[in-house]
Amino acid sequence: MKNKAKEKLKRYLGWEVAIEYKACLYFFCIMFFYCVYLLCNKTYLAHVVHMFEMILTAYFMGYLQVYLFGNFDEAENISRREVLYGIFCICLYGGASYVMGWFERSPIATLLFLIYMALVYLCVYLCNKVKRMVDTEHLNQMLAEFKKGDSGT
Amino acid sequence: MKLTMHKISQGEDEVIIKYQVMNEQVKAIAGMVQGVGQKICAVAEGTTMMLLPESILYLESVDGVTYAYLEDQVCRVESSLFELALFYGGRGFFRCSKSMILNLYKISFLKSEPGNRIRATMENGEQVMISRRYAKELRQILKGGSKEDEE
Repeated sequence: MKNKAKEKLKRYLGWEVAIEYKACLYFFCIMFFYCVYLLCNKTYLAHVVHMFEMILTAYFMGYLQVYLFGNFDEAENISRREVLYGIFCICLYGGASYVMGWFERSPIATLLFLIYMALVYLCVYLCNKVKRMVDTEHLNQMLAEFKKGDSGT
Repeated sequence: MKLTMHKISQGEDEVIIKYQVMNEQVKAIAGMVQGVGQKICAVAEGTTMMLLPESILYLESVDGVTYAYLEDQVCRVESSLFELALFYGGRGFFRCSKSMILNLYKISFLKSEPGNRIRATMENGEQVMISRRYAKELRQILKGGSKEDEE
């Protein structure tokens, strides 16, 4: 019983770490776009309130992605379901940016932000895929060494 | 009893036993090297047989009954998964879930899956998904450490 609770807690913490990682990653990407937007408008000061809204949005999206959308940016393959989830999240980010006025409700900036977020999702998906490919290679190398008896035991 | 071990770079692995009197201890060591007494008792189609652990691809527990999956045969094993994992853990048998033990030497390919899971493809083409919890242990074993080392 105690072990089960421990396992559940471990699993929960695992998901929370995944959400934390996603929130930081996407927040950093949004911040980059926001800074570029400000620089393009010759503004050299960023709003702390906007940054706070961005990180909160990123956390909220992290929860959505992990608990409702099956972690689609870490999926093995892109199917129709992953595309739909992706479009939904991109639209939510776009909506949040418009409602909270991150880009002064400029339609062009919002549109560019939507395209940028689509690229971010694509890049994150590809990075995760490459990471797994490298890990697969490493795993098989370790397996071969284990079979040869060179695993150091 | 004095133990001397030499690592060799070529040739077959060899165990030489030097003894003055053939006693139970020496017999046990010789038996262990030859694999005697380490075979697994199994039943297939009403016939009882002794299986070499090395010939087993994986062991699975279904409704409290343990089955050993060989290249072309499935046998019922009397021992529980817990006992088998305990006795044969040092011979490449790895508990990959609550109901399954894999023979690491019979895995042909490992694939990293989303969520830190690992998909193992056995020599007969069957695929087994190893959850994040057990995948961590597998990585540890393949790296050369054991679960105990970690603890």
